Amino acid sequence: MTAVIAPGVLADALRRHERSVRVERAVVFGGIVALGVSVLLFWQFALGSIINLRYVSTPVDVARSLLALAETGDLLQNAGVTMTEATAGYLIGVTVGLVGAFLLLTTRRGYEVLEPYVLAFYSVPKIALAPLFIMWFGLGPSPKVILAALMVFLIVFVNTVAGVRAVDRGLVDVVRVLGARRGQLLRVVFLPAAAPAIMAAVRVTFARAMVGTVLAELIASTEGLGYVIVRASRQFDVATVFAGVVVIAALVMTVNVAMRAVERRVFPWASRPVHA
Amino acid sequence: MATSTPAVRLRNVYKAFIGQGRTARPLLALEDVSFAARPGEFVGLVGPSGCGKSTCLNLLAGLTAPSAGSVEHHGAQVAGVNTKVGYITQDDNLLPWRSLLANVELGLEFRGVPREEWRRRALEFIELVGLGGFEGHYPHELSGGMRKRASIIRTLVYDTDVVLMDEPFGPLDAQTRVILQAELQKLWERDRPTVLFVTHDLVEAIALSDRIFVFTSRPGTIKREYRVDLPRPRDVFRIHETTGFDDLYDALWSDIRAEIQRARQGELQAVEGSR
Ligand SMILES: Nc1ncnc2c1ncn2[C@@H]1O[C@H](COP(=O)(O)OP(=O)(O)O)[C@@H](O)[C@H]1O
Ligand SMILES: [Mg+2]
Repeated sequence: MTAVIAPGVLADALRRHERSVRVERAVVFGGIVALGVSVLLFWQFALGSIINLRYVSTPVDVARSLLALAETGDLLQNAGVTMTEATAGYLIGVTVGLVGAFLLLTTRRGYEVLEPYVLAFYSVPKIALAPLFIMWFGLGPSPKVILAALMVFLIVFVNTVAGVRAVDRGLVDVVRVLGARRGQLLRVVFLPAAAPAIMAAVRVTFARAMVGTVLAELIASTEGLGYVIVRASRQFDVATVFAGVVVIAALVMTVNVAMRAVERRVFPWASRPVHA
Repeated sequence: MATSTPAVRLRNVYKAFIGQGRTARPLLALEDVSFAARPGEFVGLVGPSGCGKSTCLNLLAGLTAPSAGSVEHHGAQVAGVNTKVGYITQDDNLLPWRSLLANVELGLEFRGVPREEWRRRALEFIELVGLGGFEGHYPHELSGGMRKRASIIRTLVYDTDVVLMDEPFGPLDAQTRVILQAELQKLWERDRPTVLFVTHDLVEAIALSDRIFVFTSRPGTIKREYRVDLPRPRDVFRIHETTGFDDLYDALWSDIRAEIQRARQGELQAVEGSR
């Protein structure tokens, strides 16, 4: 006797499974929307009875300020400045972090020697260095770019080193016996093994580059989104402050989504926690 | 035969491990180990866990150096990583980001064999172990047995004359293990490399080996050597029905049991001595 699967059982199971997945997704998505909308509604209609709206503004006013900023061209110009500075700092930080890590890893004991300094530097709040850079380099883009680069560099550096050092010893030994020389080992084993950790670090650090740039702008600047926020806060224009924050968040999220998409395409097996 | 240079040889080898960090305390893993394998011989290494079997293979692969004594491959001292041997471990150690074919080609690639040649040889071996059609699959898409076949042919494909195998079938289920033993025997009979085969499975050791060395418990040294005179080719599926099997199995087992007991008594004494 051979077992006969009742016709349609598999198809039924598949259909039921797909339906439950769809329902699940709809529930989660509905929850997300409902939460967001209720927060906005609360802010718009109820928050005023607890806190003076002068301090918190309303979503509608924030949207209005956003439109006003956009109309005058202020938004585009300042967002452009901030994005340019952040991107420059980000690229510098990523490059220096990657190159530094691999140079260090070609030495035998380099990492052990450097480690205490890396940890010390890790525990310095980089923002505390901003006044120094502004004193040295003035109000132009340089201190922003440098701060952004610093915020990025260490994370990329540490994650690259950690990714390479986490490669399984047994795997490395076997590949060495297979005949791999140093450069081949790097190309065939270390780089691909560390790629997910590196990519994850490279992805999450764009947000940090933005943070570095905006923080420097908040302290002293003549243009950029940070400047827009400070300027508005001096005039007690809460709605515009919020508008600036919204724009920054939107920019960071857009870049993150884009990089996630690239990452998924390039490293389908990659999805790792990041040491940050 | 007796006059030819052994394919591999350990001569009065000692190996101490110091350990790392604060708990560092020297440990003698191997004590005066001497053995040799003739070209084309299949040698089984058995012994209690922790007796230094893997360490012997690591010495021959040049991944670690002896504390004293000499480690030789065709009469020459092993110094540095020995890329002339094949090394197959318990983990299959395939590269997850390379397809089956690209994994099998790895050794040929490193050796600078011309590309068309790699492809041809790799495909030939893939066919030989029945993996044809899976060339483009990644390791995580293959079963444990398929991965193990891949890791074995990855080594055999570059024509090494000495193959070190460290409990290669350890993680496999019982059925797959016997099937792979049969396949390994066939592959071995094809090119007759020298094989050093570490296993904790005495049946497997008997089924495959020409000679078996039994290690003492740590510090490991060779306790006894057995010839396995069962006729070849052997039917690994019914090896336990072969005449001579039972006696050999019992002898091996009683040797190992004695070593395990000795080690346990040593531990007890050490504990009592420290009171
Ligand atoms: N790299 C190492 N550092 C310290 N001790 C080790 C190292 N490799 C092996 N040992 C120790 O040496 C002994 C022999 O190990 P091993 O050769 O792996 O034994 P086996 O393979 O026979 O089980 C064990 O006690 C093990 O803990
Ligand atoms: Mg072992």
